[in-house]
Amino acid sequence: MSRAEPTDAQVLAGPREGFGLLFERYSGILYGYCARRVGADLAEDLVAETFLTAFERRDGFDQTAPTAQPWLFGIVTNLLRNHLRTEKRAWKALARTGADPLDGAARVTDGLADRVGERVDAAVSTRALAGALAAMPRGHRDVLLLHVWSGLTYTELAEALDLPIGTVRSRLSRARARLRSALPTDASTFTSGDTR
Amino acid sequence: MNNDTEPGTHAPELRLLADLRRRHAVPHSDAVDRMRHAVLHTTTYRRTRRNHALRRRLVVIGAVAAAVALAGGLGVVSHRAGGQTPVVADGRRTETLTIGDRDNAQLVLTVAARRTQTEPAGVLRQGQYIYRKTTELAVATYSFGDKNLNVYEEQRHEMWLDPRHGLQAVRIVQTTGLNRRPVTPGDAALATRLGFDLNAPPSTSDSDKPVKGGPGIPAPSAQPPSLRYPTPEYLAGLPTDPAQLLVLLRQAAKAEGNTKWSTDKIAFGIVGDLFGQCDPIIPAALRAGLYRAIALIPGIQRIEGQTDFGGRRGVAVGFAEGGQRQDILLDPATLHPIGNRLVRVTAAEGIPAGVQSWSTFSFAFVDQPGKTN
Repeated sequence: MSRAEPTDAQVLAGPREGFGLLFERYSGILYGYCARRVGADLAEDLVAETFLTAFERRDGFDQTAPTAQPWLFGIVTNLLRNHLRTEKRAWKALARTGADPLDGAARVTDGLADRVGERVDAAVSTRALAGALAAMPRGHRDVLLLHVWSGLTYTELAEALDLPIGTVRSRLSRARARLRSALPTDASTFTSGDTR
Repeated sequence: MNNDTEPGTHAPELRLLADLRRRHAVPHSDAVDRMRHAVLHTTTYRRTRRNHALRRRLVVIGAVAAAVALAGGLGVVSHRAGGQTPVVADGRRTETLTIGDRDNAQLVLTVAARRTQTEPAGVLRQGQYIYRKTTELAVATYSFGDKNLNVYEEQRHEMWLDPRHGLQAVRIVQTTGLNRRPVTPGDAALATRLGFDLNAPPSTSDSDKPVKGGPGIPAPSAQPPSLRYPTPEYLAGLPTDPAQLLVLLRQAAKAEGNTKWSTDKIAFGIVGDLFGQCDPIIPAALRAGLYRAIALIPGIQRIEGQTDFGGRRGVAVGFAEGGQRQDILLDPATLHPIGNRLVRVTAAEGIPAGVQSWSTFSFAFVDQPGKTN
């Protein structure tokens, strides 16, 4: 953001014509987060609904907040709760079969995936991660994925989820422990996810 | 990031998680456009009082997909093939969507797609023919020595097409010279000076009653089925995904080898022509896909207001290039295509800016050639 550009608080307090700036700033990261949780189709709906909700509630935005990002992620987290079953079903399917329902028919392979051994390792990790994510409480999953996929700090997580920071810490810690226990012991030596 | 003892993502389990589904995180540009339009339509474009937005959401659907559908561009979100949870599940609600005067081309086409995509297809019974009636307004130029007289003339073409043989015409009735009128006051004066009879009776010809110089039945096309030579089977096999359709349209446009116009202009024209050739046998999902596909063409525009040709009103979306604009006209009530129009954006060759040709079409399934209903 350049200095000439208004802050998020200014955008939200300003005329409606400026609202598009907020969309340009955060739609990508919100979409990425949603798409990774529930898939591209739902992600579009969720992002649009998040901004519409934000627009309606813009009077309630804390004008002292440095950015609107945690606030927006708080909104999208609430919206995602309506799709909890969809998300869990996909994680479980990925854990069970190794095929990600969010992938559709096409599979993308890259150079790494061509190396069979690594691909197998990656698939094992992926399934383990998916199983752990499916099994963990929603609140823990929210904290974990917001932190890892969206880069929210403890403070921002607390703001987004309206939780005490101590709760954020403990949830993140427990979520990580679940992941670690689910992963094979040598998981740190290979990668996961898109290499399948 | 602040410094309150963040765990970071360097830990193995977090690094693995950071990679998980990473490639899903990047939206396609079309998706961004759809989202942007859905959001900005409600938040920025619409000049409603802000509490209206909330009320509308609660009343209409209670979820963003309502705004998405109304806002245009995003109507595809919920109903694309493979979509997981359609947010707008109630088809009846989408049927109530109408075109607003301020809606742009993407919104018009999205609403049209939503309105028509679940309509049951027309039933073409065994042995029936497709009757197509086209009324066309065009500028005819009559040369008198060094003087050119430009006259608007209407023509009516009635064709009976056999769907069992690649939409081969089996009978053609053509009426020309209807409603002649000068293009400009100068043409009116010239017509008077030359004694040109603007009220001369129209002439009609019928392929069933052949006369020298009259229309004959064209030989069956040797072309394989294509977007230009559609057959019911070919249309049924086309994808309905807008992005895939746009790829097909652009491929077809390029294959024509036309260097005068851009690929997108030709692609847009192919869709308009396809509607004019055989709209009633286009599967509803394909028609909706075509609407959405042309909505993706950069530069597509909504033509302000409504068109009116012979009392037939239309909503127009167009693509302008090289001083002219091609429009596809939709019936504002049914949102089905009803015509095509070519508009000269700038005056040239003594013809002022304005409509160059304008056709409207209608169809019926009939039991035999010659019948019209």
